[in-house]
Amino acid sequence: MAVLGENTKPYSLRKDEQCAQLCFQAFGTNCSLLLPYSENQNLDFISEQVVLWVNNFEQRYSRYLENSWVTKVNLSAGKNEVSITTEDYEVLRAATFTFFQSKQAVDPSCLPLTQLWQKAKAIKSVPNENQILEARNLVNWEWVEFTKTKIFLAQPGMGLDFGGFGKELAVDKVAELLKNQGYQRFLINFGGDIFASGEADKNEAWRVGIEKPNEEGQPAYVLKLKNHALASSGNYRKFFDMSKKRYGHTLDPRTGYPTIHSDLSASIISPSCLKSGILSTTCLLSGIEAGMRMIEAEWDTEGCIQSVNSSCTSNRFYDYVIYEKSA
Amino acid sequence: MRELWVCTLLSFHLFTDKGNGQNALRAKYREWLEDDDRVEVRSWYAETEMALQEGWSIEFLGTIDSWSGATPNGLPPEKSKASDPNEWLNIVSEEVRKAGLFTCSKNTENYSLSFEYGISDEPDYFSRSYALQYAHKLAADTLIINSGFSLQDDSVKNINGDFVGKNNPTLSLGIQRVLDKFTSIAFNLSYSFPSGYLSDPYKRIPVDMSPVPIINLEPENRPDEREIFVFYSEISRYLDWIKAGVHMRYRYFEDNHDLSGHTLEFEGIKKWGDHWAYSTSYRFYCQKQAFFYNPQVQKFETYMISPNPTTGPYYSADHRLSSFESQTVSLKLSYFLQDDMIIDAGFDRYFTQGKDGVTDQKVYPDANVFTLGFQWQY
Repeated sequence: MAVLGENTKPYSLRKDEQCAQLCFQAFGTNCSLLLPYSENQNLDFISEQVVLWVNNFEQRYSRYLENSWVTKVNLSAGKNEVSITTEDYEVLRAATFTFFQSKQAVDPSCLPLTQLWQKAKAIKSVPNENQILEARNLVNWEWVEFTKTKIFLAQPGMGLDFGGFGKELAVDKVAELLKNQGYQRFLINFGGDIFASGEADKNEAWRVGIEKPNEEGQPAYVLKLKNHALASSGNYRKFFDMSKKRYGHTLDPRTGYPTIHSDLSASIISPSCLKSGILSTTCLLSGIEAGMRMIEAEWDTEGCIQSVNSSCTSNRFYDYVIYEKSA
Repeated sequence: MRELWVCTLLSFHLFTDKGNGQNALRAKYREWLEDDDRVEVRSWYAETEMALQEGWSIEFLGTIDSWSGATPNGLPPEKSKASDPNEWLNIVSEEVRKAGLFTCSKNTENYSLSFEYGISDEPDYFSRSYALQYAHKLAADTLIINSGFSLQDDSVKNINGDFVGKNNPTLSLGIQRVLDKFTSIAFNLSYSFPSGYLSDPYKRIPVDMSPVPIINLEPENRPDEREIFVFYSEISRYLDWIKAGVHMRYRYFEDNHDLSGHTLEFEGIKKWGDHWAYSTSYRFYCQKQAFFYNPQVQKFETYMISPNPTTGPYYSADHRLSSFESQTVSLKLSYFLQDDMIIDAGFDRYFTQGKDGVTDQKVYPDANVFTLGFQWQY
């Protein structure tokens, strides 16, 4: 177990026969990186670089941390501008991409709604319509004003919450970091958000499983991935019951309520984990029919939407499948 | 590609040699084969014409196309991944289109009038067309003034899988004149104003999704209105000294999106003995690109997620809107089984080349076209 410094996370680097595995905790989940052995590798160095990068990303963009940049922006809502760095500007552009790619189903300014429902869960009381409307009226990414140097949240009470896309963006950025360091073969897995680069072994793509809803640990499909990402969204595990009704954990900022499709899970394959993540969440919020149409309209993107009893797949999803669990 | 084939269908109907008040049966088979396993189209045409009483006649033309292959999707070829060098192509499994054209005509000493109804059906495109043509004959049929109106009413499956409408009305005015027993000329002007969903759902633009480290293909966005002017001229002459007919045709078109093109064609036809005839032709086409054509990778902008065809911005990487030239050389052999029964075989070679200095030459296809035909007038 290694520790980089006081404020950074511990991590472990295990060296198996065929590859090294880096493990650490971030984004509230287990994170891992598989690196097949090759020449001129410095595994200790790259492990430190990855963990440090993720740590810095979380420190800056987590809304839960008092001293994060996002918290500073949220506390300045309606009052004053906050300066931003080049990296912040990139993240804000990714947030804009998220908002529009999801057709406003994922709104990075949804903090008022997120906080309302978190409080509701804690006190076990469903918010009333007025409370939801009040929170919804503070949620609109198009009211977030930012340039290359400054950001301003136009109304008091507005707030940024990058939880809807931050982890997936981090996967893409870590992949970019690894490629810039000369690594072409690796598998990143941040709590089920995955990017597979190159091959696991000679002429063998990386193998990744998609879980069947309500059957933990049982893969519905095993996929072969090469230079593609896989992200999944589902409410079958993360839900809460209140006032005799089941609510999924995915919030729809367009309605102000958690999704009604609480029994679905959506898994998307595309060249970007961010894009896969956005589409999987949007499919979950839109339902099977609209979700499938969305997937089919995208280039180099395949996916499946599962419920407990059925599974819908896009046209070329089976190009990636090497195993399917029979019904 | 679909519009090209609908026009080919109408051209086949309009410009084949027709009898006047005779019954006729025509059939044709055509194969369009692009090099490098690109697009392959097989077409079967059959047409029948029946003369009725008092100058009335009816015609029916049926066609079936089956097409498959690979077409550029908008990704510049050099951006394809090393692991998939054909990433810039959309592979299309076989699609079948069925179409029919029904024409009812009245021919008198002074005028001819025809009404056409056409229908074309394929899984993602449904089209109906209506046309009315009137020709007034003067000076013992040596001067004919043509006018016409047509409407194409289409339903296209857009990028989201919804069927949306587009229509294309066309007005035309023309004149044909026989100058002497060996020479005739023709001129025609037409004006079309299509509107509706004019983008191609299979064509996209390459977009740099930075800070996401990928190039994505976003749907293209063409304006939802267009105006097209076409000028056509033809001169035909029989050269008695070599017993051959020659035709020269020139066509110019331009639209309000800066797209314009010139076509120049020369054709020679000669009979050879009692039973044979052969024709050769050369066709040259050059085009200037539409203002919104851009094959290069563009930066992601939020309007690309929900493009607006009314207000823009407009963008397309469809190479058919670029500046390019094409040349076609053709050879056709006809054999007269009897005076009124002909079989023919033809071969065309089609070359294309980009001319903007930016678009990758790989996207421009060359093609071989094979045709077999049969015609019987009775």
